[in-house]
Amino acid sequence: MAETGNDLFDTIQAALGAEAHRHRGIDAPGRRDLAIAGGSYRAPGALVDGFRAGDGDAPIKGIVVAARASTAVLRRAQQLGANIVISREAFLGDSQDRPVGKPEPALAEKIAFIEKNAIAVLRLQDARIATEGVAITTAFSRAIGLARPKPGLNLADGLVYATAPTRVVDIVRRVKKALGTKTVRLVGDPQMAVRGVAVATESSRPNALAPLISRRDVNLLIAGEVHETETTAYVMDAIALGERKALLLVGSIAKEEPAARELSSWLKTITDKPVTYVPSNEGLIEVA
Amino acid sequence: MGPVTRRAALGGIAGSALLPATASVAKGQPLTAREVFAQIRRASGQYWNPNPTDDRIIYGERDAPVTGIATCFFSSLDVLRRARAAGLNYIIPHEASFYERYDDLAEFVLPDDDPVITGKKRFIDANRMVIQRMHGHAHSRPGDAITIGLLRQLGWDKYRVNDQNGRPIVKLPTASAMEIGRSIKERMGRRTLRMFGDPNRQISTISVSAGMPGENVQISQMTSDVDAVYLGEVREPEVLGYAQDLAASRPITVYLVGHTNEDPGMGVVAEWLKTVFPGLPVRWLPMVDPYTNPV
Repeated sequence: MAETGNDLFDTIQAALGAEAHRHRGIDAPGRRDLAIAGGSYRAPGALVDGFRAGDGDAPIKGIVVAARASTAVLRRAQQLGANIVISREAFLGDSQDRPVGKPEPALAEKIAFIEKNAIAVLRLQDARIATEGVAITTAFSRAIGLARPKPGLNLADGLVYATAPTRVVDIVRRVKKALGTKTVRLVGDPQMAVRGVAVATESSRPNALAPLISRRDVNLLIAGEVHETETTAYVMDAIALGERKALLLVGSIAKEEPAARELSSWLKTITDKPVTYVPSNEGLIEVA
Repeated sequence: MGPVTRRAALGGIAGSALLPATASVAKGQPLTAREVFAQIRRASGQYWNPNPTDDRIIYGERDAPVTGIATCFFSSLDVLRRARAAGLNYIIPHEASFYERYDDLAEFVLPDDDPVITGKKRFIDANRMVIQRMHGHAHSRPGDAITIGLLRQLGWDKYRVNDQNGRPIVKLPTASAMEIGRSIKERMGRRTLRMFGDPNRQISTISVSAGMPGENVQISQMTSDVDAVYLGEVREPEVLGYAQDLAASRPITVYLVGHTNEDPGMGVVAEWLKTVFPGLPVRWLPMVDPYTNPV
């Protein structure tokens, strides 16, 4: 039984398996990401799992799992007496949770809160290949009724599903219900029936998503977010050329809620310490 | 720089390496794409990198005769079709045309025979169109054409009170965050508009940035001096995430308007180009919000 945060991380890694193959910065999108990171962007693609704040060797008192370890989630963890917080998404202002030289005020407050309350934050988002790892990576898809991804895909690249003809608008309804979000963005005809759906497991790598939506067996790509001048533009033109394509953006933080829930349920089976799923509540509303 | 006649333009160009010294200058002959681009560079008064990444002729035949100029946010097929219908074949988009931010197809993840890329190229070829991107040089027009166009479209230019690292801060008549959101949605022609924060909160001071200046800039807009920030495209875990964390200690309103909010700025670029090419039709072809939020 895991006694410290690092013990827990070891146990999790053993069960979830190795990271799915990632282009570690040597492919074209990766090079581009790194080039951009040298400018004003903070978002190069890379493996991210590991303790990103606090002391992973501290004994576990309790565990909180969230889509994103927001300050509100950390406060809730402190109220619950939990000192390990697991975050699917980036939580320290950088996609890899690297130290920011001059943290802006709210980030500085967050770092101080983490230190004062001796919380350790474990980032856990990489697509992993063992059975439990696949279960977490596919949690969003299953939450909207997509059961079995096509075999042979690299989980880090995305998931592809064949479905009985389903209208896009019905998938939108399922997404809103599963994620509790109000603010999806759709490119394309909501009444179009789709037979092939791709789900992006990683959202914010420039131009890495075009290969998913360009597949002949995919009509709809679901992602948390995209680079609008790349993927959105591609789908607009594909539609203009008469292709049956659509793009549904569901929010990067909201999209991780099912995975956080799944991870929380599974952790309860491997530790006797209290485990609590805390919704991140992205907080977006549609202006209407 | 004022209006330029074809003769004056060619007079300036003929000695440069851009055109062979023997280029024919038959009166009444339309300008070529090469000549139009050269003239835009000269008239801009800006430095143009001889090894540009963004702002270059992206695609098309440089010797094609130019029948008219269309500016736009993104040279979508929809825009290209409208340009053809209007008899305009020299297209100036703000953003990339081939789904890769630098239109660097050698670095692209899609194969050369991708049907969308080839379909678009076929349309451009068949209509002898030329695409010349204008990104950085639109931003570096005096006052930033993109920012000017955005504030004008929002009707906020008269409320500009301050600048924050070159980005405007406006002080609007106090209203609820939702009311101001509705005004943004209407004026920007948005079919969707996402907002973070209490919709009933009374707000007035807003920091504005267009497009996607990056996480560092967008986070830095959320200072204690402003009630709200108006943003284009964001990386959500970083920027929306920062707003979530900030909201734990003080209220903040965030409008996520999308990258296409740079579109009106290309209208400002079109106005300038009309003065550079008085003999050519020049139009801004605005795009519609690509998104809907059904049900």
